[in-house]
Amino acid sequence: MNLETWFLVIYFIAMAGIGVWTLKIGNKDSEGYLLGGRSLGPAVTALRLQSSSMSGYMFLGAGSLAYTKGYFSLWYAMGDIGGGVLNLSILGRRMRKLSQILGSLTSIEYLEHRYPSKWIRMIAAPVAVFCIFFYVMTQFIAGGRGLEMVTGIPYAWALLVAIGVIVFYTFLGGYLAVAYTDFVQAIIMLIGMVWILIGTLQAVGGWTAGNNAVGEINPNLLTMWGPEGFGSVQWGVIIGAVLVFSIGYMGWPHVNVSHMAMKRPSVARTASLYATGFNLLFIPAPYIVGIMALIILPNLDNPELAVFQVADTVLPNFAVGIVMAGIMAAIMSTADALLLQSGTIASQDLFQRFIKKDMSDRQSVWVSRFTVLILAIIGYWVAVNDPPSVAEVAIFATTVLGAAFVPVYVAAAWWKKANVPGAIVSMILGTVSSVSWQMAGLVDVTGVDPMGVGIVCSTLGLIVVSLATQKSHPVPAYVIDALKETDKIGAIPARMLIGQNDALAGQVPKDA
Amino acid sequence: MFGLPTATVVIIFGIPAIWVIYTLIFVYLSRGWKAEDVAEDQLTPSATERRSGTENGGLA
Repeated sequence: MNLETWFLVIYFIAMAGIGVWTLKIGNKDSEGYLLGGRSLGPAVTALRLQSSSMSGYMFLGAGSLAYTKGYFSLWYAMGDIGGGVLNLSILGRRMRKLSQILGSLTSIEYLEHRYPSKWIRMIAAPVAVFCIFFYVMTQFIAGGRGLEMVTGIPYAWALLVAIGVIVFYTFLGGYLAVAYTDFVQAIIMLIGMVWILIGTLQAVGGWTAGNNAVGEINPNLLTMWGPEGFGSVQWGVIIGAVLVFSIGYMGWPHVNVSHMAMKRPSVARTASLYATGFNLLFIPAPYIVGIMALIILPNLDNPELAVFQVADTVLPNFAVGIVMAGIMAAIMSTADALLLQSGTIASQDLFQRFIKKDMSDRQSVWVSRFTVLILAIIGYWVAVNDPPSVAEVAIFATTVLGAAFVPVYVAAAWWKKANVPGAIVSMILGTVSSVSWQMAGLVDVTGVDPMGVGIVCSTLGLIVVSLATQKSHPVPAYVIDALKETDKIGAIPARMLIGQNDALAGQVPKDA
Repeated sequence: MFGLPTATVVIIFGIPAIWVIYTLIFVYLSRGWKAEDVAEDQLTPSATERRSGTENGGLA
């Protein structure tokens, strides 16, 4: 076994160790498994939010985009850098507080509590699971490819090992395991990525020298307008690229659940500093490495492997092992969050809501674990037989999630007139318009990104339908009260927390 | 600068700078949120003890 493989083995054991540890310290009820007992501080909240958003896309997709499109690819990074603070500042405190008042344990359940209708969950849950499944599959593929490259073992076996480790610790400790491993992984991936960037810039003689060399290949690669130059620029695609990873995060159920798990609503404030700091250091790096790969590896067969191959070329052996652990960290931290979210949606939002309402906490946790296992098996089967492009699938799944859910999550916390019909129409319009736009190939014809189209359709749908149906479907008084309470800065009155599950009822002030 | 066209430099440094300013403004404007923690602690004296035993990752 080579040095790099040893690093990965140690890393895998450490991650599994965290899973076992959180199993001991974590709560055994649903809130403990699904939200880590709502106990997370700003550092874990921010880095968990960022690492679970970053994913293997940053190492495969970002490098590939940069290798083929040069500095144009940084439009995605420009939006991405602000994604964390935007999400925390707009949704963070309000979603934490409102979810506690309404007694919501999952981000889909939160939507149904805010827009009280079973149809909200019946529409939101399948859309979320569908997109999350495709996204998690890209993480499996990225993990398998990375492991294959480092260890030399065949892709099918590498994929099996990567999935096995991810499922193992997701299975063990639930949200707390995922949050802690995501936190550690965020630090590892930051160190790994910065290390690759430094090694890359040293290899090309510095950033300026590297840019000059890239300019000799094609001067347009140094511009923000793409390899064909300013004449071919598609502003709709640029706007979509910025939107997809900035406001798009606010539509991701597996990211938004971070707000609900915060120790206090005010955690969002400090967490925003961690999030922006992390993003500034981490996000631009894989794009710049991908661009410099044009000089270091000019004849790369598969651009998705640009960052992997550059790391392998420019770093010493021991560093490659650490960096590969960082890459695997990015992949696994997203995959575990996605898997847990899928399991949560299946157990809480579908099984318990529509099939077995009297399900115990223990049964709920096991349904969640069983779902994780089933998705992992299906994901393995698809990823090993017909692996799709990581960048394309990741961006597409992100686009649909953003288009379907951003307006309903934002309006849930901010707009008292947002009602059930408005939310239903918004989710359907966002999903259908973004998927149809992509499937019909209208991106190339119109130069407009499906994210932009989807967000406009879902936002207009929410506003128009909510206003038109205010009389027939008024927002319930207790939801209005909860929203008014969320507007205030202060402790939640005890009367607003009565009637929730046992775990939440335990937080009711005794003398209020 | 850095061997890049001016427009590229302005965009790749300018937009992140806007996000940094946004973050600082958000942190400044939300400084009153601490009052929420104080109010919560006053209402539930036992909550602080309960949390100190179960808090995870409050590194700041």
